[in-house]
This record gives sequence, C-alpha cells and structure tokens, in this order.
Amino acid sequence: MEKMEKLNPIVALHDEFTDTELGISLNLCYNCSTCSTICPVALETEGNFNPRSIILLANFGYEERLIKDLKPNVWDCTMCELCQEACPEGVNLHEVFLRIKNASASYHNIPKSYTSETNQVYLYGKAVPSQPVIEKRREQLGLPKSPDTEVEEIRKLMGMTPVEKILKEIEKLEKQTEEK
Amino acid sequence: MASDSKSDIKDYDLFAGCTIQNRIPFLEKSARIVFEKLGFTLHDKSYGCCPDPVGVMSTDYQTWLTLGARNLALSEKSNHPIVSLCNGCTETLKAVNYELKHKKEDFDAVKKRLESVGRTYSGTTQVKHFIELLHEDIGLEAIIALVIKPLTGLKITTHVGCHYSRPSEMMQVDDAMNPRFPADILEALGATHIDYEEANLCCTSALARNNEEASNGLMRRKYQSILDSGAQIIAVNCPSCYQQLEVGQRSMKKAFDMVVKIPVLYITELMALAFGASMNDIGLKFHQIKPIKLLKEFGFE
Ligand code: SF4
Ligand code: SF4
Repeated sequence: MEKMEKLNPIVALHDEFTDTELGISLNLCYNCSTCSTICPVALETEGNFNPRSIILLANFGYEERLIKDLKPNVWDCTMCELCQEACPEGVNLHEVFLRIKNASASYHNIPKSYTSETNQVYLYGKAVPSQPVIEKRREQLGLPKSPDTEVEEIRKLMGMTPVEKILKEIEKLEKQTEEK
Repeated sequence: MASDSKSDIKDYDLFAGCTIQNRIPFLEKSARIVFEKLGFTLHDKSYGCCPDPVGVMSTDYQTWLTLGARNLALSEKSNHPIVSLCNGCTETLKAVNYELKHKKEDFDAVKKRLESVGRTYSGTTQVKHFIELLHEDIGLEAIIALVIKPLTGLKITTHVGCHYSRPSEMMQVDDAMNPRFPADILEALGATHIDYEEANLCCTSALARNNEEASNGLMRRKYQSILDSGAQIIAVNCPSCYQQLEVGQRSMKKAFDMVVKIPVLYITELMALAFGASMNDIGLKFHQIKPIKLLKEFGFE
C-alpha cells in the first residue's frame, strides 16, 4: 500500500480490479441487476445512481470516469449493504465501492464532510471530540468524564498511511479557493 | 438474576463511541444503568475514534484498518471483550478483525505500524453489539426477570439500521436482511412491537452527506410508513440512526411540509425505564422530540 501511493491512482485501481481476488469477484457479475433492484438510492433517483452500472464500468476499465468524473457518483451510495447481501454471484460490491471512494479521495473528489471528519480524528483522535458543554451534561447525568485518547499516537499512525498527504493537499486547495 | 445468564463473562470494555460520548451522552447513561442492573462491570478505555466506517473508511482504508486495530489492541491488553453501543463502531471493530484475518499483507503492515508505537495486535479481541450481548449472551429470560415497570400498551416500532447486521460475513449476527433481536427485546419488556413496510430502509445518514434531495425523499417514504403503522415510538440501537431520525423529522417539515412528531428512543432507554429508572435519571429531557408527555400517559415518572 505504501508503494501504491506513488502509482497513478487510476492505474492502481485498474490493477486492483484486474488480477486480484477482488478482480475475480468483479468478473463474476453477469449483469442481472438484482443489486440495482434492491438499492434504495436507485429507486429514489430513478436509476440515475445504480450499483450495477458502477460494477459494469469497473469491470470494463472505466476507472477514470468513476473516480474523476464521478459518473455515476459513488458518493450517492448510502452504504446500506443490501446489494452486497443480495448479489447472487457474491460480487464484493462493498469493497469495489470502497476502492473507488479511496481513489476519488486521492483526487480530492470527496464530500467535504468526509474529510473534515477524518481531519477531526487527525487533530483530536475522535470524529466528535469532547466539548465543555457536553462534559457538563455528562456530569449532570452522573457519567464519568469522557475518556481521553492518545492523540499524538493516533496522529503518528495516520502519518504512516496515505491519509496525511490527502488531508494536507485538501487543506491547501481550500486555502487557495478562499484566497480567490 | 445472574444465574439466569447464559454466559459467565461479566467484565466488558465499553466502546460507547464518540457520537454518544461527546454529543448525546444520555444514551450512554441508560446503557450503563441497564448493564449494571444485569450485573456487568463496564471498563472505560482510552479508545480513539472507532474510526467511522463511512467517513474515515471511505477517505482511506489503511487509516481505518490501523486505527481500528489500535482500539482492538487496547482491549487485547486488558483481555476483555468489547461491548459497543453503536452500529458503526461495531461494524468497524468487527470488520477490521475480519479483514486483517483474511488479508495477510494488510495484517503485516498494520501490525508493523502498531508495533512502532508500542502496541500489539493479534486479532483476539471479541466484539459485540450491545443488542447481541443482550439477546445472545444474557438472554430474554434474564431481561424479563428485571422488568418492574413493563411497557404494556406502548406501540413501539424498530429501526435497526444497516451496519448492525451487514455485511453479514463480517457482522455475524441476527438475520442480516430481517433483523429481529431488537423487537424481541421490546416484547420482553412488555411493549407491543409494530412492524412497518419500510423497516429495512436505511436512515440515509450517509447519503444525506452528498445528496440531500435523495435522502429526504427516502426518509419521507420511511416516515410515511411509520405513520401508517400507528407506532408511538421509534426504537433504535445506533447513534447515527438516532440523530438522523430525529433531525429528519424537521427536514420533512421544511422539504414537504410534512408533520412527523414521533419520539426516537434508544433500546437501552426503554430497558432502563422498564427496569425502574426515572425519566430524569436517564436524561430524557435532552431529546429533541420529547417523549415525556407520552410516557407519563403510560405511568412513567
Ligand atoms: S447483483 Fe451482482 S451479478 Fe447482478 S448485476 Fe449486481 S453485481 Fe452483477
Ligand atoms: S450499499 Fe449503496 S449501492 Fe448498495 S444497495 Fe445500498 S445504497 Fe445501493
């Protein structure tokens, strides 16, 4: 994984969808549409978003379109995992979607709330850090103080994965847009 | 009462999760009351974020694996199983164990990272959702034995939430497509469990982060189905679902001028009440949609 960082994410994703266990699972798809029939978002968007088309595009080498153009937009998946359970071929939709999301993140194609949440973890060790008002409420309720965590250690661990770079790049981009 | 329990282990590390701890702590209060009454000791640990299987996992899988394994390593050291109060935390902790068991390369990388900060991960920590612990290990009999104020007459429906039981190969609990444990527990408390057509529909908390329109549309279906069912309370077992189902009621008013006013309660809150706790003890006044008037009608104080 540390090595893969340096590869172009599109190529890396293509490799993951080809010669791996995940690629083999992807290849099992026979386009039956069971996943799209059960998908609540496909129902609500009248098929505009649907898992089958993502699997199809992943299978036929359209990684670039999926991660750069977000067509269809993988972030519209609500992660209910119904498709994963229902697929008669056992295609690992869960992991395919996850890979596309991670690759999109490295192109900064990720909803703001996702990276700001991850950034909270980087800064405070928790997605929802302790706050004085809530600490007071905890006290009122007779609850112990919310346990601290080792933030430095967590930050150090995050520094060993690709995430630190992604967060920094996104922060830089945001500053640039602000200045404009 | 303890003799009714199916498992001897009474010491658990508590994984309350940061949403409950630092945003809606009254849910934690009810859980502590329930497990104390059942004779359990819950231990606090310096866990970090689980981390969230939506936000953090989607940003970077390796970070998610590593930080999840760090939490598991903390409990490996204390040699206690974990009880989690949140669907998302449960999914992360179970799924990280599962992934690292099946992916040698990731296991080695994570192990090395953790060793560099002095932690040992070997994948032995057991993780349970609190519903799973209640239903499978403690058992309905032991729960019934503690009920002093049954929820008789209350029509309660459940929203179990997606990450509680899916992906099933990782979660290994209940019926993945038709989870039933929460309803069983409500019935053990004396409540009338109400089914509804859209019971399995996601709360859409993840979707709302990218596509509010679609999220609202789906929530509208869900609420309509709940309204049609005649349920008076929506019982949940996940803090994200809890927040989404409370906040969503306001969104319905804004988006569709649709009036929904159904209190959302945690299963542990309902249990604590049935076990004799007062509404004040468990901080019910902190709910956005107040259940107090309704519960008073049923004799709760
Ligand atoms: S259900 Fe499975 S096999 Fe059918 S289209 Fe979807 S991914 Fe392909
Ligand atoms: S996990 Fe995503 S793609 Fe699959 S059914 Fe749910 S919303 Fe649709």
